[in-house]
Amino acid sequence: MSIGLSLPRADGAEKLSGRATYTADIARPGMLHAKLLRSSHAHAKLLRVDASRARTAPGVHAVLTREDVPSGLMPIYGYFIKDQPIVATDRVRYIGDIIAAVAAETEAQAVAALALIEVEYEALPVVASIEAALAEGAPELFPTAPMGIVPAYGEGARGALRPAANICFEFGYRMGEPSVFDTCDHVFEDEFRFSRMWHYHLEPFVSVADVRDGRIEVWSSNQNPFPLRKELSRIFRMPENAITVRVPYVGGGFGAKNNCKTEPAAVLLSMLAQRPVRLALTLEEGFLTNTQHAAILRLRTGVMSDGRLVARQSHIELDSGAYSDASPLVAEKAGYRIPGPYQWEHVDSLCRCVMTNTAPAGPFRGFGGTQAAWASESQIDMIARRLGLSPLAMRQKNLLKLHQAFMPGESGVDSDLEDGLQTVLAALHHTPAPDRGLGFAVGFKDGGGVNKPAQARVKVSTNGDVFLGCGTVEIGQGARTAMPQIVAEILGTSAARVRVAPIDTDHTPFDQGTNASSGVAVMGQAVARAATAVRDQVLAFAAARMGAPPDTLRLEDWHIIRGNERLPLGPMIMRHYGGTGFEFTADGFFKSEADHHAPLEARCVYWEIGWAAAEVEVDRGTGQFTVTQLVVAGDAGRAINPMLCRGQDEGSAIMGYAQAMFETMRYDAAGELLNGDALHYRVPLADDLPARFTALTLEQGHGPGPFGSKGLGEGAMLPVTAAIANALHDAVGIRITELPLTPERVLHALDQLSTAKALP
Amino acid sequence: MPPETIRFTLDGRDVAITAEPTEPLAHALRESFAAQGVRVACSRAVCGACTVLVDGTPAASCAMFLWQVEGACVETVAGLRDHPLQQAFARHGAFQCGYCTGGFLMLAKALLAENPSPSRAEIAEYLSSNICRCTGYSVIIEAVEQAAAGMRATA
Amino acid sequence: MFRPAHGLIATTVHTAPRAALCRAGSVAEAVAALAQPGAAAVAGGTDLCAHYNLGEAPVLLVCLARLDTLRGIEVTPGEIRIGALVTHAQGSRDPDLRAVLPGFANAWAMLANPRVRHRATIGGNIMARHTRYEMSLLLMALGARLVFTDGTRSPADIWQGAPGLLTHIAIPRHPGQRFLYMRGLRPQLTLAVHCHDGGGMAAIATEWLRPQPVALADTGLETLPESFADQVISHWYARRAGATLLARGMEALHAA
Repeated sequence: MSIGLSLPRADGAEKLSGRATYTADIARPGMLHAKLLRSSHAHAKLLRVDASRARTAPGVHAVLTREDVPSGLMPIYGYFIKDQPIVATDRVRYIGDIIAAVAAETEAQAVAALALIEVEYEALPVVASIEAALAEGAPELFPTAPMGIVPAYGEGARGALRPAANICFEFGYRMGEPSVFDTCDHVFEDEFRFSRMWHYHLEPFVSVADVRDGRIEVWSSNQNPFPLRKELSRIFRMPENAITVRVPYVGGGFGAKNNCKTEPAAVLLSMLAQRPVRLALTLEEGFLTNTQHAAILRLRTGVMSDGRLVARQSHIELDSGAYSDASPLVAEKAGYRIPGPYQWEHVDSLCRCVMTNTAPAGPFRGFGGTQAAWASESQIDMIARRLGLSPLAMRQKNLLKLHQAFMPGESGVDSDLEDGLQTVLAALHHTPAPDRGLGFAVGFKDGGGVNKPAQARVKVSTNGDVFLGCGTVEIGQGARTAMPQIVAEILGTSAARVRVAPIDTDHTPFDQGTNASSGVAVMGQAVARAATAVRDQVLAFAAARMGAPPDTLRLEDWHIIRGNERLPLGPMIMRHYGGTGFEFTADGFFKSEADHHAPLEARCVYWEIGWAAAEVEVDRGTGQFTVTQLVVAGDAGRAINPMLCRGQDEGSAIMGYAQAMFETMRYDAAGELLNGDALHYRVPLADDLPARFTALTLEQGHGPGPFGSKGLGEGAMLPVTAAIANALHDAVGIRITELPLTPERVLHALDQLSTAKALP
Repeated sequence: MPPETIRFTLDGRDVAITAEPTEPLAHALRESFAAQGVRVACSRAVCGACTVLVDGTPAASCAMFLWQVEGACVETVAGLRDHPLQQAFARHGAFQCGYCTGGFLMLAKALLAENPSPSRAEIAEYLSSNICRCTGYSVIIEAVEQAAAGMRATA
Repeated sequence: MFRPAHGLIATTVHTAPRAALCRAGSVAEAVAALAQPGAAAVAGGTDLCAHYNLGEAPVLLVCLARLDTLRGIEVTPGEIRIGALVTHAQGSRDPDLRAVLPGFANAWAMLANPRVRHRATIGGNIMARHTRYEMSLLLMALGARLVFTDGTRSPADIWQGAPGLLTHIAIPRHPGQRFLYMRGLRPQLTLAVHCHDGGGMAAIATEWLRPQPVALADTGLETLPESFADQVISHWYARRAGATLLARGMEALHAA
């Protein structure tokens, strides 16, 4: 029995001894070290890049500027839109944009060489915010449209490239009739602002590339090795079977480490230098590489006086930074999730990706669901209070019921939303007191990715040692522990006998990526199918040897059980196959079916829910407040490993808490990142935790994953910001609609409230 | 700068290295002593992933140089052999990606040497020296609490 | 980040050329070594790494560890004399200091974090000249004098840099002396309050702004310059919250 056990992590021995290998530890013979020259202008034409003095600097083996890119390459990458060059060509679009790279024998030599590169800029006006980028006469970051695609969407959904200047993509979803707004008793319009954080993964962006003999080998701290391989194949015009991507342990990703980051430059330098090249970014460069999306969300919500939600029209603008990266995908999700887990007659959502002269924004835990939940769960509370209803009653009236479809054509919600809400409320022991308040929220996202294929392979040796080939990257979530538990359960063996093979795109079965909380719910199904197929092979083999029907046999501890008989498989295999024995192998595949009726072209695999309840106490003298209690819950469906579930919910909840309380990147109007370094960018520390902080793992049992499981990892982050803002509202009657909830914002709101109350 | 021979003890072994005394300590430990568990993340003595013990007190090795450990007792995570802290971290799942883990183990070791019976608040305060982005810290605090209890019981 | 004229380059201590080393055996040797271009002092070293991240690469590191005359805390009837090399951990626990000015010892115990406190020194905290480090805030409120090899300065004067070496910090003693460091709003705003029978003063700082003196009678922080605002807080907030902290600090010190 493995399922449901909090088995110690399989990577414990390595990580606790310090012997675990990450890409940052990879060294190859003759390896060179690369460093980058980045733009000091937020927006400028690149008139001249002269690296002639760098090329002859001591220790330098390769220099990469726009002149050094071999013709015939496609040196521009991206997701839906290919707009990000490996090194800048005609212009730079944010402070930090890459202009040149040098590979040298030491990092010090590379830095010295970079200092010799001459660059001439012609400054262009800077648009460092959504408002600035959309203002009349704003300079365009991409006067010429980059190559892009719009994926196919199902019913009600639509996408478009470049609907307007500085908007690279928009996603829209519509359901029902706008005329229902006229039937509403009230229509409320509110605007919310969501802040921008950096992932702050401790292992930096790092890759090692070795190009030789018509082959590219890359080691990378990366979350999706197969899409990375595909993109490298496209960029370097090489077949995918001439490219190998290897991913060891990853020291944190949170979405940052998807697709191309350091790899194209490392590969190109290796090509030029004909040596392996390591490119590792510093922490400060991390802030300049990929971030969360700040957003402006305008919600126009029509309701009846009794609290019934009728219609919502939403307009969302995401600050996508200087390159599109995954912004179109985040727009899909923010635009899709903005209605929240509620019943509506009419929904009309539009989400636009606004290009600004700041670091590119991309996948960040929550992926549009954080932005959506901040706005939606705040507004539900605001509306409830305006109508004189309790926030709980308002939600009870409107929450989707178990198995109710989120939108027409969608799968049903596979969690009991109200039950989860009652659970967190019951777990938070709130006694009313002056300036103390309680707030809660339900976070919600379609989990498991969209139309996402996953493959896995299970092999078992003569002695019953199990190999699992599975492309889910161990980024800390515990995939290397949970997947073996699934296999072990099906094969009737212990999880300790199942080892996950290193990830290597030549040998590992295909996977689209470690994202969307899709590990257990999507890859887990592929893994379960592979294990089941192997088990069936083994039983068929034994049945043939024993002359018994396979369904009278059981597999347990690498023995065949028939009635009272317990026969070891090893000798049975040796007798049949001879001295070298045999391996049983099978593949498993899972993908939710494409369905054009579903808005996103496939029904959602499962719904990832996060519930949060928070208690706050406000200091009216300074505006500072304390979160005295925070209770979060996620529904694992059926927990494969409860300890891992708790880890995901606690880690993600604290990220949400940090976003509520203090963590934010600060850009000024000139596109300068003001706090992008370890000392000034505040992330939560151990003594920042609420005095009482609990994460509950619910097992409501409706998941589609193996044994009824669902995914975790993002859900608990989604509701926390709104829960805390709602608690402030309950405590002292103020409503803050932007993040973070700083003491100054609280004090200012308190002042405004007193002034408003004082007016006759 | 001419190389010097710097002698110190590393994880219980007497070692000597002939190098420039101004070589960064984290770099020397990783490159010359295979101390892979000493990890560099911020290079600013803020995150603590590089934490080692120098004469029993925790220090960011990214902010130190070889000359500063001359004659000192240096401990890294590699020197912990099935330590109660490692056992407790394993039992509590007090790590996820693992990049900060070596630093936290050494930090916790220093705490318990200084204060064998820390309260939860004292543990949280001491552990606020280092950054973990994955766990949200509760499990690390619990693991240290449990390890402390176990170490007191067998002391 | 290193910001040469033409772009940004991410530097760290690991990307810099190796410096030469001077293990100063005397204060005079240290002063002479530090007078050389490209020299940097190393006490605890916890701030030096930041300079490498800014692209500074000292060519000579001057180790101060052997300068024992810069250690130790001496309490006399007129002042408390603290050696520049006293670490936060040592200083905050010093029994002689705790006996005469426990509020300052408690404040000292809160600087940085427990790990950094073992190595970082009071002198290093001051001479890093970083608005994020708060010893100069505490010392401003205390009316301390900074004793350099080439003269004495006040905490407000450190920002321009000093040719000499900081050797000691002298905190004048006063009858009825009490001190409180209000750090709850850090890093947005912190306040240090110093009272004694003959008067006292406060000082206010943020992570981005240099400490400003505040008269204890200035209950509304009216003399706080308009420029006292940063990327996180406005001048309005600094005055409002600062006034609250000052009132609470005064109440706490008088109740004690």
